Amino acid sequence: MINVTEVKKEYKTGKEILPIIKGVDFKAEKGEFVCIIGPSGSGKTTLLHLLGGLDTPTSGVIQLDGTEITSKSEKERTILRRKKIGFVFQNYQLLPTLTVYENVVFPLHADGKKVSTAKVLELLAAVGLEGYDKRFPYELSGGQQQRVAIARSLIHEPAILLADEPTGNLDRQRSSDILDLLAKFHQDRKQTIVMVTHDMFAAGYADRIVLFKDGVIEAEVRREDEDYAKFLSRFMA
Amino acid sequence: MLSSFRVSWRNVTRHKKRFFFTLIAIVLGVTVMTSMFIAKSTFSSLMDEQERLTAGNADFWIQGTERFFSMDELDAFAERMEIEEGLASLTKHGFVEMETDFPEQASVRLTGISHFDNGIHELPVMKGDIKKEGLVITENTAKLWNKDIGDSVSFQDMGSIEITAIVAEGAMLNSPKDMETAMLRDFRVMVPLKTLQEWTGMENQISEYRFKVDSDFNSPELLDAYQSELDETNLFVQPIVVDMQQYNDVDGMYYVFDLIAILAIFISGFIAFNMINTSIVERKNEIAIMKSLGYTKANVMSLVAKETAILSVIGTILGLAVGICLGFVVQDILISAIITQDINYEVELVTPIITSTIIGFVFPFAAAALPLYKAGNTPILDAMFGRNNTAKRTTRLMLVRYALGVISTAIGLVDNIWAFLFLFVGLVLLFPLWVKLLQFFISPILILIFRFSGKQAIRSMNQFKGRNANTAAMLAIGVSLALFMSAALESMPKGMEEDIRATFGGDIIVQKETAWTENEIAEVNAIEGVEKVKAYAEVPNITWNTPSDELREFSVISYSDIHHAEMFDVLEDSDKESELPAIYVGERALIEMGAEVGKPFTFNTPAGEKDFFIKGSVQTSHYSGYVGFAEEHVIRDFYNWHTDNQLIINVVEEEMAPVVLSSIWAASGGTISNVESMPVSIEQAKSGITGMSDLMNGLLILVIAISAIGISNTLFMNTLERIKELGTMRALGFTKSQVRLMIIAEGLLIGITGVIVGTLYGILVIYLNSVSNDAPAFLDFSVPWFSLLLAIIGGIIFTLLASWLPSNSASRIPIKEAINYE
Repeated sequence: MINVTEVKKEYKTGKEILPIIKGVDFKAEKGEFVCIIGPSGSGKTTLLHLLGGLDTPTSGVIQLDGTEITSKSEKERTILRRKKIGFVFQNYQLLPTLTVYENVVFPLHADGKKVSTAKVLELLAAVGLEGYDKRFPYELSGGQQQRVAIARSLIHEPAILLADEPTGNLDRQRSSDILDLLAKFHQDRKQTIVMVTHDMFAAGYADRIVLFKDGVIEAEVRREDEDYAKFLSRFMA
Repeated sequence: MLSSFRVSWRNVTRHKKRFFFTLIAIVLGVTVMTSMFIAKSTFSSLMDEQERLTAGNADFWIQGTERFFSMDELDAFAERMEIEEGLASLTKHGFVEMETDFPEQASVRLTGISHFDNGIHELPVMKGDIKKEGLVITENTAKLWNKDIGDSVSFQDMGSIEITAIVAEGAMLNSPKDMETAMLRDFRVMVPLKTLQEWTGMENQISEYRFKVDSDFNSPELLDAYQSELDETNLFVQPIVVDMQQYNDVDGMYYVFDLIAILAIFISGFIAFNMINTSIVERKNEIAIMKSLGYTKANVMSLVAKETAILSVIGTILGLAVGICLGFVVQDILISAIITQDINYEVELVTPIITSTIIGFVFPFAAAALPLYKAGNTPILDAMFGRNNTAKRTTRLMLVRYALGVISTAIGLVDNIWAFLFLFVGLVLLFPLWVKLLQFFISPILILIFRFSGKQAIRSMNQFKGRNANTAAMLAIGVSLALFMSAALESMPKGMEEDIRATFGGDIIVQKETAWTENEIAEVNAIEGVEKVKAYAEVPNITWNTPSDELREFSVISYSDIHHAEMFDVLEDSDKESELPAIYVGERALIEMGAEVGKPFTFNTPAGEKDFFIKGSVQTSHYSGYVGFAEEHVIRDFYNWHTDNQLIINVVEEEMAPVVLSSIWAASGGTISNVESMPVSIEQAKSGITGMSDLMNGLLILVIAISAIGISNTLFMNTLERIKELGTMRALGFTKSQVRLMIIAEGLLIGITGVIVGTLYGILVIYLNSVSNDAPAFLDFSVPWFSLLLAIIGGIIFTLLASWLPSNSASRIPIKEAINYE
C-alpha cells in the first residue's frame, strides 16, 4: 500500500543544507494502522507531508497504492491526493466560510463529482455530528471540528488516511473520542491509516508504532510483539 | 527614532506585492491630482496674464461712441496733471500681400500706436529693437510669413514697412497657430500711428487713448470726474478691465479637473485604507503582544502612523515627479484645444506642488484614521486568544453604514453641481447591498463558467464582503464618471450647436469699424443669397463690480422687440415694474455679478455710472452667456451709444453663407473689423470640445486603471488573509488552476458588479445633469452606447489583468507552509 524507499529530505537555509529525513525505508500494508512517533523536529510530520504529496523528497521513491508519486507533477500529485488520500490535521483546517456539509463534500466537488446527500449525512452521523450539517466551523467545539475533518477525509473513500497530530489540540476525553472514531473506521472499513503523534496514548491505538528520531527510523514495534507493552510504557514514562 | 522607522519600514514592506500596489495607487493618485492642479493653475494664471498684458500699465481708456475720433478732442484732457503717460492708438483691418489659398488667411489687424518707447505696453522682444519705429510682428507671424528683421512687408491698399522687432506671442500681438487657423483669426501686428493714419487716410484719427494716472490721484471719484468732463462729447472713459471670461467659459473645465483630482485621491485613499486596515487585522496578535509588554495605545498608533508616513512620503514624492511631467502634457493639450492663437505661457508649478504635497502627505493619514484607531484599541486577550466579539458591532456598523448611504444618496439627488459627490458617497456606503443583489444574477453564470472554482469565489466574495464591495464601488465610480463624461462630451457639441443655432440671431454677423449706413445695408441686402439683414449695436467695455468688489466687463447688445429677439432665450422674466432702464443678462454674467433678477444693478456705461433694472436672465451663445441685452432705445438714451456697427445677415440657405461672406469682403473688406458666421462658430466650438474629449478620456482611463490596481490590491489581501485556507484546499485536492480560476472569478465578480452598478449610476448622473439647472454643461439625456460597451469590455479586461497576478501568486502558495501559516 505504502512503500517508501531510501527517502531523504533536505532544506537549504542560506548556504547550509539541513537534512530532515536521512534515508528512510518504510512500508505500510493495506488496512494497517501505523503510528509514527518521535520528538519535535524529528521529521515525522515532514514524512507525512511527503506521503501525502504535499512536498517532494530530495531523493528516494514513494509508492502509494502501486503508484510512484515522487516523479509526478504537482498537478498529478494533487489529483492523486484528491482521489486516494484523506488528510486530518492537528488544527482541523476547516474552511471557515463553508458549512459542515460543504466542508465535508469539498474533495468531491473539487474533483467535479456529484455527491449523495444521504451518504454525507450518514457519514456525519457516523462521526457523531447528526444534525450539524448546516452549521459553520465557528459554531463547533474543537472536538466537533476534528470530527468534521475526519468525515471530510473519508468522504471520497481514500485508500490512505494521513493524520497529523489529530488530537494535538484536544483534551484527553475528546482525544479519546476522536481516536475511537479513527479506530472504528480502521476496523469497519479496513482503512489504512498513518498517524503522526507525540502522544503515546494516541499511539496505543495503532497496529504498529514507528519511532522516528533525527530523521531516521530508530525502532518499531507491532501490537503482537512481545515487547509492545514495554515499548509503550518506556515512552509513556 | 531611526530605528523605529526601520521597524515600520519592515512592517510596511512585509508583503512586497501589497506594498508595491498600494504605493503605485498612491503615486497615481498624487500624479493625477498634481497634473490637474498644474493644468488648472497654469490656465488660470495664463488668463490673468493675458488680462494684465492686454490692459498694459494703463488705468483708464477713452473711446469714442463713433469708434474713431480726432486726437484734437483730447488735447485739453491729456494735459491734466495727474496723467503720467498716455498712448493713442488706431486699429484698422487690412490684408498682407502674400500668396494664400484663401483671402481670409491674409487678414491682419493693424494697431498703430503713437510712440513705441512707452511704459504702457509690455512687449517681450525676441529680436530687433522695439523702440525703433517700424513693423512689429510676433515670432509665429514671422515664421508663417517667412520674414525676418529688416524684411519689408506690404499691406494691400496701404503701403510697405520694414520689420523692426519680433516679439513673443502675447495679448496685444499674436498670430494664428497655422495657416489653417488663419482662416478664422487675424494676424495682429503693430505699426507707428502716423504710418497707419497716412495709409488709411485717417489723419489725426484714433480709436482709443489709454493712460496711466499718478497713484496719489487714483480714486473712484476720478472716474466720475472724467465722465463728467466728457459728458457732452462723443467720448467716454472707462477703467481698463480686461475680462477674459467673455471669451472663455472655463468654469466647466475647472469643475471637471477638480472632479478628476478628487476622484483619483478618493480611490487612492481607499486603496491605502485597505492596505493599512488589512495590515492591522493581520497583526492583531502582534499588537496584542506589544500591548501586553507595555506598549500604550499611543505607542501602537504611532507605530502605524509611521508606516503610513512611509507610504505617504514615498508616494507623494514619486507622484509629484510623475504628476509634474503629466501636468506639462495635459497643459499642452489643453492650450492647443482651447486657444486658437499661438501663445507663450509658463507652466505654473509652485502653488500646485505645494497643494499636492500637502494633500499627498495628508490623505494617506485620513485613509489610515480608522485602522489607526482600531490598532490603538486592539483588546489584548481577545486578540491573543483569537476571540471574536465583533459580530454584533459589525451588524450595528453595517446598519449605520446603510442609513448614511441612504441619506447621502438623497442629498446626491439635490440639484447642485457638487451634490453628486454625495451620490457617490452613497454608492460606496450602499454597495454591499448592490453586491448581494447582483450576486443573485451573476453567481449562476460564474458557476456555469468556472464550476466549483466559481462557487468558491462567491463564498470568498462574502468572506471579505466589505473590502470587496468597497473595491467594486471604486470601479463603479470610475465607470459612472467615464460614462457621464462621455455623454457630456458627446452631447456638448450637439448642445452647443443647438444653442448657437437657436441664439446666433442669423447666419453671419459682420462688424464694421463705423456704423452701417442705410446705403451699405441696402447693398448687403442686395447680395445674392441674402434673405434679410438687420443692423444693431454692441456697446463694448461696460464695467461693473462683483460682490467682492472686483471690476468686470462685458458688452451689451441691442434688440428691438423682446418677443422676437433672436439672439437669446429668456430663462427668467421679472413681473416687477421699474422706472429704471431694463437689461436682460446672460446666465454666466448674472452669476459673476452676484445679481438677482428683479433688482437694480449699477454699470459704468459710455454715459457714465447708471443703475439698471435686471429684468431677466437669458440663455445665449454670444460670449457664452457673459453678456447683456437692452432695448434699442435704452442703448441710445441710457448708454449714449448711437452706432449700429453690427449687421446680422440671414441667408437663404446655410450653404450660401461662404459665398455671401466673400461678396461682403469684396464690397467692403477695408472697413470690416470682424466677421462671424454661424457654421464657423459651431465648428470652432466643436473642435475645442474634440481636443478636450481625448484628454478627458485619457484621464478617465487613468482613473479606471487606479480602480483596477485597487482590485489587484484587494485580491492580494484576500489571498494573504486566507493562505491557510488555500493551503487546505490544495491539500484536499484543489489544483493550482482551480485556485487560479477561483481568484480570477473573484476578481470578475468584483469587476462585473462594479461595471454594472457604475453603468446604472452613470446613467443616473447623466439623467440628473440633463434635468439640472445648475450643471455647467449642455447635456441631453442619452446613453452613450459605444462608451458603455467600451466601459464593459474595458472594465472586464482591466479586471482580468488586475486578477492575473494575485491569482498566479495564490496558485503558487506552498501547501505545507500555508497549512501551518498563522
